[in-house]
Amino acid sequence: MEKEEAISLWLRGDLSQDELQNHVNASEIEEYQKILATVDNWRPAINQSDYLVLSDVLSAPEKNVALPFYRRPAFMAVAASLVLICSLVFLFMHDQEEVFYAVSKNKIFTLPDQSTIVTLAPGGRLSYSGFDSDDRKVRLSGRAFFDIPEKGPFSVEYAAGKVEVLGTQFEVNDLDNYLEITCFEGRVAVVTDQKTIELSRGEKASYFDDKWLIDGTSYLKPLWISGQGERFENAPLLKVIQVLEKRFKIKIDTNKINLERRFTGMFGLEDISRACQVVFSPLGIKFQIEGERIILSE
Amino acid sequence: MAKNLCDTKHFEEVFEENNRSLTNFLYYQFGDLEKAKNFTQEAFIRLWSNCAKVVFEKARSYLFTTGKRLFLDEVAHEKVKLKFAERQKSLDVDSPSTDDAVRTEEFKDALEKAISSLSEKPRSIFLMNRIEKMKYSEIADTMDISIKTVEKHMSQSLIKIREQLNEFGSFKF
Repeated sequence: MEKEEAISLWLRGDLSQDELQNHVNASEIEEYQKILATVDNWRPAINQSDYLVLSDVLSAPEKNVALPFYRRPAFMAVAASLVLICSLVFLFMHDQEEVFYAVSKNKIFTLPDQSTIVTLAPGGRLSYSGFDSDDRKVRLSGRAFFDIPEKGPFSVEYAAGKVEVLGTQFEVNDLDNYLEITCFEGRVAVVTDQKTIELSRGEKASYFDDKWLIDGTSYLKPLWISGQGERFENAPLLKVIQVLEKRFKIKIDTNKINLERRFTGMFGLEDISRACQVVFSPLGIKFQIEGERIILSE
Repeated sequence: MAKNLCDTKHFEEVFEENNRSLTNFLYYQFGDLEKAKNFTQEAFIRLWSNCAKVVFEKARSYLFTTGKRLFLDEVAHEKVKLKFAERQKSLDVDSPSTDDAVRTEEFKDALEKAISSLSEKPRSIFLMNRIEKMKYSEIADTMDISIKTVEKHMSQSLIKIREQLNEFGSFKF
């Protein structure tokens, strides 16, 4: 019998200490006992008052908060009609719509299949109604990362199309003028009006300027889900600017610069001027921060 | 009559029974109290939202599975620093000498460090068994792994902890 196996049996109570001595020397056994005796008498250093109370769960406001959509008129019109259609349909079908919003930080939650975990980026909205675990469908606007351990149909619908999935991890990023779907694990089919694009692990499809571009990602997960910052791989400058605006809650004036460029790199979220430095300096763009506006020039 | 989770009284029962152990479990995984609390809250909120879809008897396993998956999707970057306290003070007839007290304190610090340096899965299995007094079968159920895996992690954790303590020189009296 190997030493590790003997220790395992001893821990389980199926080997006496005497028998253990055939495999492990006495002083080592003493050391194990000292460790166990100490740990057995421990509790985590958490005060009674630190634990949750029932009201923390029952009166959590998440689901009942009505939040405004983005301020862009086109979006508002589309959203309004979507909501209207949805509520008519639901009146008929007696199905409750469940909606999730992320406000100032990532929102992580599980879907009713009790296994899929969604990380929703700030400003995002995800909803579903009458969730069917055998034919899973959600609606998304904004950006979310999906971790789907269980195989089976799964689709994410967004404004201009949908993504169908085969047990996987992927990100859908649906901003106003830009759409990006990255497959981190498994396979993903991106279904649009004109065609279907299949992605496998490490591939990314982005739609910008009326064109689809397929390239890759070298990463295993998006950076934003850890809240550490934003990372871009060959992303259009316009998109980077939109993300800057969203994350730092400022307006960026882009009239005087050429947006036809791409950016690869990343910035953290602590300091706006550092982030601007990272993004704009390599491209030779000057930036001027004036309160809640940033003016770019070349 | 079957217990219904949407009934506040029954939900409360589940809450009282699992609140501490779930928070502790996530604390052992994250090594961070804030995260443990946030994700405990998230798991219970999920359970409450889905109260109609989860059978009362499966509530515990739902909570721990959700907690575990929330942990996996949160990319952990900070170094884990778990802290423990004595459950009950040992009744010493004579108070220990200062030398003994210092050595005990040093051993405690070293042991906390050694435990914090284990990876999350073996670490939380080890602590769930030794501190939460969960049986191997319960741990296997909760974490959705086999009993053999639990056994393996238990022995490997103990061996690793001892190796670490030896490196710290904690056993030299």
